[in-house]
Amino acid sequence: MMDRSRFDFDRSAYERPNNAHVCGRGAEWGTPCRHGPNYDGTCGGVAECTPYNNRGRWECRRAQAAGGPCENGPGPDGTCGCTQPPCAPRRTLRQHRWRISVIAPGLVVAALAAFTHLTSEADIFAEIFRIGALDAGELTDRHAGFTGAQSCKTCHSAHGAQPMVWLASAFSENDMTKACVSCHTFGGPVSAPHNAIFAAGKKVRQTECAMCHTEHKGPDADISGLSDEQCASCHEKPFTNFSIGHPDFSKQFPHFRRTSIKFSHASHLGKHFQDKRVAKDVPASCTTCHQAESADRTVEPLGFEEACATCHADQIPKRKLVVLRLPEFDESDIDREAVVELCGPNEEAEAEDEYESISSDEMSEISAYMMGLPSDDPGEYGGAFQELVMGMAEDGTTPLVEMLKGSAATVDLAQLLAGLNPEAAKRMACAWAVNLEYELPAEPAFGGWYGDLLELIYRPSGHADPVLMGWLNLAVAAGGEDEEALERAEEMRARLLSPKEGPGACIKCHAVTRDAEDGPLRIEWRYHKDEARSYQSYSHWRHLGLIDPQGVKLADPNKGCTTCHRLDANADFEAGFKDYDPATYSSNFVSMKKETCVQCHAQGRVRQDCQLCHTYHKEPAFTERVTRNEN
Amino acid sequence: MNLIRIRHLMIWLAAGIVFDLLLVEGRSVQVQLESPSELTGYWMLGTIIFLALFNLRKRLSMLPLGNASTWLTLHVVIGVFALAVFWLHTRTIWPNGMYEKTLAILFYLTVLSGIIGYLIQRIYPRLITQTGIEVIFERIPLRVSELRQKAEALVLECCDQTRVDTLGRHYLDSLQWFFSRPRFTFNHIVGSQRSRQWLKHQDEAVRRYLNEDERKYLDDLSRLARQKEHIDLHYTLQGAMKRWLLVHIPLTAALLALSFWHFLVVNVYSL
Repeated sequence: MMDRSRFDFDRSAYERPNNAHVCGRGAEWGTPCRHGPNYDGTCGGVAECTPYNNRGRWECRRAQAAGGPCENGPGPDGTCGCTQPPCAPRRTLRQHRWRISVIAPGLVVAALAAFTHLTSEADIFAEIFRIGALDAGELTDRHAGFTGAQSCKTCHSAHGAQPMVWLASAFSENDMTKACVSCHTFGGPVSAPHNAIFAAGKKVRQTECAMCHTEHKGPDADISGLSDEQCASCHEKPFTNFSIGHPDFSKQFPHFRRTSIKFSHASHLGKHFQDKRVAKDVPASCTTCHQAESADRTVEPLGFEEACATCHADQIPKRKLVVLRLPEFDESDIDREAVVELCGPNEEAEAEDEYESISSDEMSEISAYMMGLPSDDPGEYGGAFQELVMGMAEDGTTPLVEMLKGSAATVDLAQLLAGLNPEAAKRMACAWAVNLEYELPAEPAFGGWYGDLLELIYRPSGHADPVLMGWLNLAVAAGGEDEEALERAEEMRARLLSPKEGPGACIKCHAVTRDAEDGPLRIEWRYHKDEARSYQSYSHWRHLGLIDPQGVKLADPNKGCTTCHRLDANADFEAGFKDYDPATYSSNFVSMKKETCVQCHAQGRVRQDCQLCHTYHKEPAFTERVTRNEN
Repeated sequence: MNLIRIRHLMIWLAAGIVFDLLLVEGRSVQVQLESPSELTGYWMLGTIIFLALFNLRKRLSMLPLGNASTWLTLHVVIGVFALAVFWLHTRTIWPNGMYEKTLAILFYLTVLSGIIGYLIQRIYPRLITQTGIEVIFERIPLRVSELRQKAEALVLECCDQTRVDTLGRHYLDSLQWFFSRPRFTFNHIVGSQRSRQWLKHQDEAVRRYLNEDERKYLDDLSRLARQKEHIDLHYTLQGAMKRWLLVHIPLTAALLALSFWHFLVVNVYSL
């Protein structure tokens, strides 16, 4: 046990732990002096006491703890008789701690000041220092390439500002969304949930990009992930997960719009493919016609040449288009001398005074529409048509061009009359001018323009013939300023789009659609990729990988594509194409049910989180700035 | 279970409950598409400031701010709480940014030094008590000096009385080094008995050459050496109990400085 009497006032010096210094002798493990250092850090132990002048006599005042008055006593001048050289007092541990505790944050502040200040481009270390002081972490790979020379300022407006402005921005709200939309675009209001336009008065919470997307988490970070709970926090009807509580798919899902190609799977599979005459051409599986390799949300069909031509290619060249037909005239106003002058003498020409029209037909609906004349009244159209014939005899195709230019429709002359030889047109007109049928030198073998007897005809060479497509486009777009013109346009449209004859064969497969109620008609020449459901995503490819489409037979009802796509033999598929409204549609596949998906996407099986099938944003895209990589 | 233990248990329990509530609230905030990092960040800052106040409490001992034991428990418990909140805040053990990494290093070092300090404060006092003596740390130089003077006086007396300088030469060759200042610091830190073995070895090495009278002086000298060994242990362990703060407190100060910078940068650039 400690001898506590050691600390008695007359045996022990008083400890001053708050002093900043300790005796230098003690610090070097010598005998420390009893006075210890002075408050200012100088040695306080040179003399052992301060003698007291008692009525002219100096008395030693050494403390009892130090042994009491010394033997020598004070000198005559009052100085202590027991002196020693001064020591160099040392700082206490406490003092060291205080100093280091001040230096440490000081170093931090100095480092920050240095690393944020040295940002001039002239300084080769600037980038390193700047990053050191402000770098909150690497950006994702997707964003790292778009900061460029502007660096942090690309997104953070306060970066690089004057110090006071920079500091003041700490007290104002950052508008990060503004920076985001300088590169990103959406198909609706940026800050509206799902970029959707909500009904007026409906209260919805405004969103900011940073609510879901936070950066500086490294190059490979997933900054677009949302949990199901986060989705459910906004939706009015929350549910547990896809398999439990998710609303059923809509009645038509996923066939909300008719296809652009009128291809009935039911009739082909149930009727045509059963015909033994085409047995060798019947596709082996769905993927014979649908492109499994590029499958994503849709599994696009192959083109006509790969998928349809085997059975349907030879039907197309048979469908000729009659653009001009020499109609019946009551009388001929054509000047025979002028014809001879333009065309030369024609020995077969009948005498002018014995005129009897060689044609007993009406005008073609196309020429009637183009000339703006009734097709069945020779008295109305006679003069104009004969004028057209004389014009063609003189200038070949020029009068036709002028006639098309003067029509009510917007036409592409280069497409409509592509390949029409002016000389052939002239010869045909010369024959017609003298009331003769034009005799074709030889039967046209490869399609194209030709005159035959009383008609100027175009015969398509094959699928996707541009001239035929041009005339059909003209037919669906044709209109008029008055009732008669509209009637003629309708007659022309009915003639050209009639699937029974002529170019209307195209319309047997290609749907004619009116997108808006008062909008123009258009023919859907290309495959329509459904992009209307922008909040849903689905990858056929991932699923095709599971069911091995290459090995699936169409006839097998329990495998492959038919796992989800089941034919509905009773659906009135054709009815969907009788009007121009694409929404009027009855798919020949049974609508899908949620239960089909739940077979795999359920608790403990395959993923079923919201983002697996749904995307948050509407039509996300980029501004032009991104493509130019401007910073 | 005594009242202090119950109080400490209650503090641990309260910290656990608060952390659970923070966890739930953080998740709720995240689900609501708000920023849980903002919530946990403010908690983190508040926690660090509270932990730093412990040092202030020691300086303001005149104020009735609760007893030191409770404050120490609060400091330890909230220190552990801070570590959990740190991970909740960063959602990673090792953040990305350069200054955030520095911040993490400072935080981890502060926590580590705190844990080491806590262990030192728990283990060393028991080792010190085992010596059977009590010494005020600031008076250890004086005690070392006194023991050295006694040892030297003893050796001189031995030489004078026995007229043999064997013990004197032995002192000069080995024990003088031992008495000059505290020795075997590292061995005392790790709880080694090497100093005791060294002293025993020195005793045995010279005893065979001493006569009966000299051996009595050697016995006295060895007693002084054992006292010195205890003083050395006190010096080393009490020193460690003071010196770990040379690391912990400056790290805390640096951490606070960088935390305020982080707070500022986040407000300028993000919030």
